[in-house]
Amino acid sequence: MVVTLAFRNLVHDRTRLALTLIGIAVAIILVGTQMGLMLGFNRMISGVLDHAHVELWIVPPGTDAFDDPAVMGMSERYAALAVSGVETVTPVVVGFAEWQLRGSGTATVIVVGSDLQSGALEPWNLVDGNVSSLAASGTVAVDQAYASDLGVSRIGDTAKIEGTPVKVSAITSGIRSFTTSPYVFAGLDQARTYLGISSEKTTYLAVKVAAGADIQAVRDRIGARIKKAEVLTTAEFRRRNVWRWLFETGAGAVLLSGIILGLCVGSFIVAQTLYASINDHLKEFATLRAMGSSKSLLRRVVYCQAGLSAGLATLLATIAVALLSHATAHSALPILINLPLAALLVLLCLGMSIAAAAMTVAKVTRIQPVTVFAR
Amino acid sequence: MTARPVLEAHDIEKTLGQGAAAVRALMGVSMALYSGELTLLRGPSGSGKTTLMSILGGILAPTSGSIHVAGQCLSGLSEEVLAGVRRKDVGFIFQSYNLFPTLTALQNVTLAGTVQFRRAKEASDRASAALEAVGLSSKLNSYPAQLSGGEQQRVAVARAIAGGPSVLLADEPTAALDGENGRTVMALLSHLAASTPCAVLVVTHDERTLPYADRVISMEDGRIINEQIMARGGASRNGQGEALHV
Repeated sequence: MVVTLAFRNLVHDRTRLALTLIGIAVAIILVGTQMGLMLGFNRMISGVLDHAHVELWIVPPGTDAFDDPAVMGMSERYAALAVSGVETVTPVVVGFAEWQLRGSGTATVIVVGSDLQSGALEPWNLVDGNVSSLAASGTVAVDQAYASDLGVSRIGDTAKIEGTPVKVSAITSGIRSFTTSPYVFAGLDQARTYLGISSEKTTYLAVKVAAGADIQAVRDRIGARIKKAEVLTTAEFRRRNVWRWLFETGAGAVLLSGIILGLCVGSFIVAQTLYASINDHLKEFATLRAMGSSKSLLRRVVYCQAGLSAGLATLLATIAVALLSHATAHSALPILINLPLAALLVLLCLGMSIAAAAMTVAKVTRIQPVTVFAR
Repeated sequence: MTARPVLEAHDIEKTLGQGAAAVRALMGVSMALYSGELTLLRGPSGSGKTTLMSILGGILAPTSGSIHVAGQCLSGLSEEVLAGVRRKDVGFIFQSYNLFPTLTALQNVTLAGTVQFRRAKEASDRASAALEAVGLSSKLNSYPAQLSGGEQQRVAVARAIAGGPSVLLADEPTAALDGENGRTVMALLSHLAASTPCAVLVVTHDERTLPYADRVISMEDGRIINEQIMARGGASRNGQGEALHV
């Protein structure tokens, strides 16, 4: 009966219910979009690290982002290779370079080069061409999302990087860059050429730990031998990367503000609607109280009303966010939604409604039953 | 008719407001309601009838005096304990029915069981039985707006009796009804008094209610001025209006 009463109270005024649902749904869509963008950015920022098949990274001291690198000597590689538990140490060079389009115009790209035979780091989600083709001199892999920006459209198209002619030999899908400069993958030697990094230098060293070895212990042993670089686990490097781009640039703060704003607006709408609905049904609540209803029953009706409106609105909002996610899936600014995010949206919406209900429940529990005799 | 009081009030005083604005609404009221009896509480507007009923039903605390409902003293009880007494022992019927417009007749009456924490099935079964008892078994799924005033008041009666109260308190139950519906509701309340262990108190201005009364209590200016035991049909049995208790 509590659910029936709460539901009937809600649907009693359908116009108000519709406006309420739209209001809450818009707030949740705002929250969901911001969270989806954050998730998308997170994936974008850490995409390269997430697809590297290594457990440790040796990085120049003070490195705070994968895309914002310095260089270090290759001597650290040999030191690391001597550590027990280390299987391979692969140099990875990363740097910004100027991409010159076939006609006129230029674009800034991030060149990522590594020893492709090591399997430590290579382009993924290939939709055309293959990784082995990148072993040939002057070849690169680009992502189809940025192909038009780079003036290429298919395998075999050409351009120049820092004046060196390059040919597209592989095309990927979904490898995006938070800096808006597209990633261009190449073999290690080619990348060094494009970036002007000598063979005695590298940006990072990607360390594959031997099967069965304790990653933390290997990390400590490498750290003890290397003084001019830091040793990070992939997870630590990922966290630094995300922190750098999302929070030190302010992008994350903007997204978080949107999330907080959405939650506030949603809570306000639920609270306002509940309050109005309760005011409309004060006589009924007073009658219940006169009949001997406990305060907890009255609270249950209010919370149930809040939960029902939140549930319906979340359903609408989740569908809308899923459609937005689908629509932006292949864009340069994808809104990602997954099961945990959807679950989080539901929880946030419920939390928001409970907070809103808590604000209005006092009104109901303070009702004096004697008001039922007011004429 | 039995002589077992299910509600007893002793020396009830009630002052409303404070300071210079204070009004003594009730002054030393004592009375009893008996199982199997329908008692009318009559008096002019402002005589304290509704205030007294609110106090007897445990929804307003007296300034002084004591009330016992079904053997339980209400003095000093907390708000929640008083609510517990109401849901177990007191049924209310209101002048304007106070039905929930968004619920069907059956759902309105089922609420009484919900308030008593009964399981949904049990609450619904009891509600159906109560509606049958008031002659509305064919209107279970009707909404209040689809019922006449008399039918709505019968739904309210069903809701009040569904919880099996010891005392039924009705506030001007016929005031909003035409003659026929008023008589139907009073006949129903009279039948309930006679056929159940429930004591019924009807606060009224309506002269048409007199023939249904077992006892009539008259109030004026916050005091009981007369109490009569009636023969059914409206005549006083204790000496044509002899006061039993003033």
